[in-house]
Amino acid sequence: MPVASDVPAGECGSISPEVAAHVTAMSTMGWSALNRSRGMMMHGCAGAARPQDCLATVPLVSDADIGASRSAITAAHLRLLFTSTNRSGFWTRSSADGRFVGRSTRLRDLAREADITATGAMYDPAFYPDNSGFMYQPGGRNCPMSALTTGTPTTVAITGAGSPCTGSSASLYQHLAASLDGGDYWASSAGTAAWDDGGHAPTLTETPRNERWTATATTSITLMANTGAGFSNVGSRRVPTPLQGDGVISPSSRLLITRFVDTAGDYQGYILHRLEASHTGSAIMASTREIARYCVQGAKPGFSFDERFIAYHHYIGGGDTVEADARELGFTGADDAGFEPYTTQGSSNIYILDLQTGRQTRVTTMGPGQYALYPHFRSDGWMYFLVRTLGTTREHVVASDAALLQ
Amino acid sequence: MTRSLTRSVVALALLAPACGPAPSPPTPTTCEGIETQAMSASAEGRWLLGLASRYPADTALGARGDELRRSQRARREAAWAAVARTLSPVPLAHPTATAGATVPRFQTWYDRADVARTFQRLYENLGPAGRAAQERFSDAALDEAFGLNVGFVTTLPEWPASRLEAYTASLDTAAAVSGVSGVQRIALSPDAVRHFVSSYPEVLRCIANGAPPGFADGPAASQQVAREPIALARCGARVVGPFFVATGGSLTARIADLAEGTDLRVLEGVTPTAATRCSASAATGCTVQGPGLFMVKVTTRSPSASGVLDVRYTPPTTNMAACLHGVFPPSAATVALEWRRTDLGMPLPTFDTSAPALSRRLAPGADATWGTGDGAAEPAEREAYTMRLASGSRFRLAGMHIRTRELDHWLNITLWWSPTPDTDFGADRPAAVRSLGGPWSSYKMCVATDFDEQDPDPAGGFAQDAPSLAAALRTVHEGRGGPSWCSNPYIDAGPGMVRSNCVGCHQHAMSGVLPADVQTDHARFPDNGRARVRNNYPADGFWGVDGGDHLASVIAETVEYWRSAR
Repeated sequence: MPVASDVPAGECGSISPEVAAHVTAMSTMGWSALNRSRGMMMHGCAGAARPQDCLATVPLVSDADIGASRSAITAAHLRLLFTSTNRSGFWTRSSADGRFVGRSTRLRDLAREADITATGAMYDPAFYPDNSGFMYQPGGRNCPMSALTTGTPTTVAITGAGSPCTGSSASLYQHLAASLDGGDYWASSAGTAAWDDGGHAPTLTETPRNERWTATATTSITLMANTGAGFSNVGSRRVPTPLQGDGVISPSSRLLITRFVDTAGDYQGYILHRLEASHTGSAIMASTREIARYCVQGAKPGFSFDERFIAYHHYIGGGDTVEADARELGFTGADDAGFEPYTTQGSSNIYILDLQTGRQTRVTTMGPGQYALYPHFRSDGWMYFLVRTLGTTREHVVASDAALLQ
Repeated sequence: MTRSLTRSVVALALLAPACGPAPSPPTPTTCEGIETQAMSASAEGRWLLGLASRYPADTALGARGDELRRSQRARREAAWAAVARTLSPVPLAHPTATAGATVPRFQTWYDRADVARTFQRLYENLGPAGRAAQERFSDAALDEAFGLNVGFVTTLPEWPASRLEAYTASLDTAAAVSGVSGVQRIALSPDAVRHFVSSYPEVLRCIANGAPPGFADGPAASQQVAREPIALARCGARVVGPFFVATGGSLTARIADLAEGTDLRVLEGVTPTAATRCSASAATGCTVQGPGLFMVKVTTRSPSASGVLDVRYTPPTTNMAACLHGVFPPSAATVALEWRRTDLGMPLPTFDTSAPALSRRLAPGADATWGTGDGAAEPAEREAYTMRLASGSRFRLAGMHIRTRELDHWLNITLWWSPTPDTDFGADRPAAVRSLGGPWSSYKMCVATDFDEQDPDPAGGFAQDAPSLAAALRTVHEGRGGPSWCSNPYIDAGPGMVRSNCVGCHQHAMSGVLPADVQTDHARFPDNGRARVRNNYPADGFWGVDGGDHLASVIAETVEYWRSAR
């Protein structure tokens, strides 16, 4: 498929053989495999022989919550992890073992069925892929998981006296990678982001960028070196990522995926980069190389721990994609009477995309005014996401096994 | 054990012409190396290492505790012997591309990932009833779990035999073999892990209810007697203690045959603001009733005063390690390792630990901080123990703590790399360590076995045959009864930590005290955190339970995992 001349060079649907090679390598050497080898205890998996058998005692979604027929995949399961009457802001993220779910400053301990309030934090919970810790903003506050797992805490001090957390240079929308083998790893800022807090009001399209993603846009790559006593920021390099933003680094830190736009600022899809970074002593060389381009619509994505999939949500009801979105949901088009409520109330659905094949699969079929948001994976391939509904502060967190069925 | 735990003495000798206050020490900020955890031995690494090698404890050492407290020379000889036992080469469980490959014994020891896999297996196998009853693990179950941990990698589909073969084939140098255990920061001998995981009910209880306070009362034990020689010049003062007295018990302190002009006070508490509970002339003495923690302070206005302070007191009977199933066995040992990267353009800083250099760092007004180093070096592999990870990253071992439970307050040893390894703290290195090979002769050593120094000889008995060591020891000797000393330039890097002794900090493990506070809160933790302020040690002095690797959280997570699965 040819590409318009005003987007970065590359071709929609192009997927380099390097992607398959990377996915194959990560299937045995990535964070999912490594966490298995460390005996990570996945939430809801006691006695389960396979990941697909996990969360078997967690109830399926029903008409009492988000609706019994929200799964877009016949054989897949959507399980209701919990419901909160407290509205959250911005994204939701979970621990690698799936036990903790961070929504704004509330951390839900699914094992204890209890909330832990993160005092001194404001937003953007994030968790390390090795389950060693979590982070909150502002201030890139790094905290050990033991602060959540030891005893029966109801609060955890992210800042201030007695806080187990320390500050860092990580800024908003952080994605936390970790070293797979004790070697160095690379961290990336999100670059210019699109703040995404949809579903509180009708949200018909992907949320706008905070700043323009220009032809001179860059992404900062930071060398986190194992000094022996821990990982230290040794230095950074900026790599060109023209007309791109919302960079997300993979758990192994070897891939970088960005969203890209055309010169008019319209979202075009995702570009997958191989991170080519090395150092000689403290001298850093870094560059990115496009290895795939997926021209699908969606918000900031999240990688699976085996780095085979990304998951994202996509807002519907308006914009350039409204016709295609309506048809994909089975309507005759955007003018279909059945689709009309979407055009006023909006909605969003969850998708997973197989990076090797480029195949996109819709996971949910949400109703008008119902927003499935912020999908992210846990280490064993289960995916969690948030559901917001217009007109209510009630929010649901749902688990999906869709990726395990692919 | 009872003896040493009931007679620990802290002394402050203040000899000022006008009876004025001594200068305050600087403010340090952290306790010794219990902070960052790092990469652990992988499942494949554990398979290659096999079962961890037991620490071959010197079972006769416990009976020599008093001798070691009174003799720096005997203490150092015992410490060097423990170093040799810890560093002894152990063969790998499977052949590699490096023929006859071995690793030092400590590198076979278990880290957090090993503890997690082992405890998970043990706890799961208890079954619902056993878990509900918090049953103890049988020896057979423990043996099985350790064995399964070794073979765990072979149960993983991503590790077929061909991959394990490729893994062993990649270990083609001594440095690569050294990297099998990863950039461990903390590792535990097998008997230390065995004891820790067996203590899970007590660990859970302390997580839920908290640890006992610093002074844990209990039924009065039999009366104890402590006698301490006192020699003071005019305006001199000496503080002796602490003494822990049970409810219903008492403490009587007295110095017989002393002329007027020397007074004695019993203080409640160890802080500088401790309240006086009684005062009298030293010859008359005085008595206080328990419960409480008391210090005895002797002062004189006479030109000189000398005698023997006699303290009789009734301590409480307490659980010394309430957060564990008793204290660790003598074969329990732990290491805390300080690795430094070699290939980032960062040379290894070096530290001068000679008498003149220590004097400068410990001089009044100095900050008593090791700082960034006195020089830099790029030691070769034959000069510093070196490892290479699969990623290619290389690391040197800059320093290491070794703690063995052969003594009541542990044998607290620390090693640090030096470009002049045969001087000061390396001048008495024995043949047993030299024979271990090149790099191990490049590390200096100090040791502490108690809160206070009981060797009256500032030179530690080395004046004749190791004068540079004798001189260095003189600089850190604060008088008999003063706080003991041992500090590692690479690990004890926080401000003020040139004044350190390991023992004082470790008493607080799992007590709820933050390690950083031990060195910074002089009111609660006198002598730069070196003074004894507790009559019980919740985790038997092992910070790994709630600091560093936080092994308590391994237990808590596993228990919660199965509880939530019901």
